[in-house]
Amino acid sequence: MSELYKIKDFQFQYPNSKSVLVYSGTNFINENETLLLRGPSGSGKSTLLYALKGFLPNTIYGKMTGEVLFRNQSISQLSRKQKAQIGFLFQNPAAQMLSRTVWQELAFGMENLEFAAYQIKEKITEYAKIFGIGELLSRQVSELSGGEKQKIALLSILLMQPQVILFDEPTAFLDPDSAQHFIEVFNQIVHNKTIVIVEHNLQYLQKVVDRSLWIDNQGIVQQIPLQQIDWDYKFPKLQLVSTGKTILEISELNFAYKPEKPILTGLNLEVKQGEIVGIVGRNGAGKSTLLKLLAAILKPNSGKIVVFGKKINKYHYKELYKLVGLLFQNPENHFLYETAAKEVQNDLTVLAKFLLKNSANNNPFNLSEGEKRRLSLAIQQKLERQIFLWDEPTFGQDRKNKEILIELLAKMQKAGKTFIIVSHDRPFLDAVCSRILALKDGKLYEQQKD
Amino acid sequence: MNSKKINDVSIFFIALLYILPALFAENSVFLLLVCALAFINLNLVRNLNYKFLGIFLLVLAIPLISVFISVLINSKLTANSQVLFQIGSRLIYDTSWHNAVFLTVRTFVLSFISVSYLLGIDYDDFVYSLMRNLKLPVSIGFALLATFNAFSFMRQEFQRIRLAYKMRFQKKKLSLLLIFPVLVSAGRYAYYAGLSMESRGLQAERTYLRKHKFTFWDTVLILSNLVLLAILVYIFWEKGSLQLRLK
Repeated sequence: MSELYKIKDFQFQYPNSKSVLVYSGTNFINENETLLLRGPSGSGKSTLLYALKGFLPNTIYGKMTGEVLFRNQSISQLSRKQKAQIGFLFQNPAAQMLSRTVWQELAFGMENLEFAAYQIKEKITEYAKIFGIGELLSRQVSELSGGEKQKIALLSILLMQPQVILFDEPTAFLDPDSAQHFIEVFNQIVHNKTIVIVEHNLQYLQKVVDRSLWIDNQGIVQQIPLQQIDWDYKFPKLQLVSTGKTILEISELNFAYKPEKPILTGLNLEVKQGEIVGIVGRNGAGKSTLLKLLAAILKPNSGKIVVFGKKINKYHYKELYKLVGLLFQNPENHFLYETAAKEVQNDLTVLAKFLLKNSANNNPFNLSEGEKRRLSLAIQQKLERQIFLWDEPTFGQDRKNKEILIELLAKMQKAGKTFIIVSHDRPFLDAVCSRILALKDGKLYEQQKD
Repeated sequence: MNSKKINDVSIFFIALLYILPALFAENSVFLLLVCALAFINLNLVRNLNYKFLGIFLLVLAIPLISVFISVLINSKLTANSQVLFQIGSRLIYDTSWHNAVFLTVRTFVLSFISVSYLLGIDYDDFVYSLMRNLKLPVSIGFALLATFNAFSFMRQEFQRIRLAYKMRFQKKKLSLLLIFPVLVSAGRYAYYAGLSMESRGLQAERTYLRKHKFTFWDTVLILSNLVLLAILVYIFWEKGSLQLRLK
């Protein structure tokens, strides 16, 4: 195999950041290989992908030393068209969306590469069929769920038929079936391309990865033999203490954003104090919507939500938010202040617990996506609430951070806190939940735990 | 007429066509006729959101009444001003009345034409058409599109930040201070939009999937409106009831 990329003693420092991301030694990425890039959250995996795309240091500013060569040419010297042959999936798919409709979004890259109009139409129709997103084509981008946006972002990259594909957590927002399906189809249709994947959900990747690199927080890059990777790791099951009385009751809940497309239809749920309930379901099934209804951000069309014996619409928001805390799917939704420390009232112990002590003085919006998620969890922990509604708490987290989160959950559950967790991370849910429910056709169904 | 046959740039041009005489003419009847023509014309080529327009008119009523009263009371009198009627102890002169009516009508006509045509224009199609037909550089065109999208993003951000404060019991519900984080968010949105455009190879030479050509119907529409407007100007000019303030 010939070398495609050569990365030599590469270092990068973001403006206003005290830490320097280091990638020591000389590393190669070969033509037509699928490389898995792993490392702890915040070790600079996404930054390395930016470097491989040619974003550094001119598009994304910062101080850069060392070199990144693409076919023996400095990557910064590639033309715009050459760089477009390097497909890049952002970690946060919403950040990639430019257009008003899904169709426009999918066509955008192909239009830039001057594909003929008939080819663009044919390819979009073909790929939409293969990936099962035909029904999304006529939708507005702003109406899509997080998972649906991820699918569109993935397809918009694949449609450009790039020579190199850089994926930053491609399955993070996909439900397990969609993730599995995506990887299988991807494996069938993508040939002779170089692919670099940053991913924490390893269970989908075993069949496609050729080589794996590990970057630690000191910037030491190591090749890890594939046999040594625990592809389908499981967490030890949490020993939950017994639960108390019913504190949340949902009966015959109906909700629709548009009357012709109901999301929740006659949904019922009863949750006892101290329970940890997991909710799974396909992308767009209405999981995040359900959490927003429970936090009174949305109003149901009909049905009843009772929290601690009182109807939710009878609460003043101050009273309700003393009881209920919502962790948004997008961690940035929580940030109000200019430093991470201020977000948690300068409580450095909480930051340390979430491995964020070194980022205490950084602007929350400048943290890595994984660190942003941990900061939003730290904010949640500071809030003394009784019921926690968590939407994708493990997004962007490595195994170690998930274990920290599990420990935290155990402590909080012992203290009588109740959780409803929406997640696609099945191993995590299997470890922490007292029961797992699947949201399907607007209703909840009990699921067997592993 | 099928609304898809008419290019959004043509609609924009017609809006300008009606706004210009409304800016310079000094005859209330003429202004109202221009407004009626503009509205009928727009109805022929676009499906309007009448509900929104109705709400807009209700809101517009407040500044219109203010303009009317303010001009009626504060208008300068000439040597020939005659008393028209009396409200309480205040005498209302003919010049004040005419000025008040005229300025109120002009404010109404300009606002109504601008907003109704704004509702009738699809901004996406408008910008695409500018890029395709009038050689607007793609970097500016897509920056404009991203800016238009940023407005809805900023609205969402405003709600998000309010909610984040609310959930943490911070009292900044409607504070002006919320504008700063919203602007910062808009900056970040622009940054990511720029990255995404560059990442996906945005360049001057590109295929356009959607057709935005000027058609025969655009020419017909623009010419017919020009002719109608010219006839209207001629009739009023001949009658001596149209003065244009061009200085």
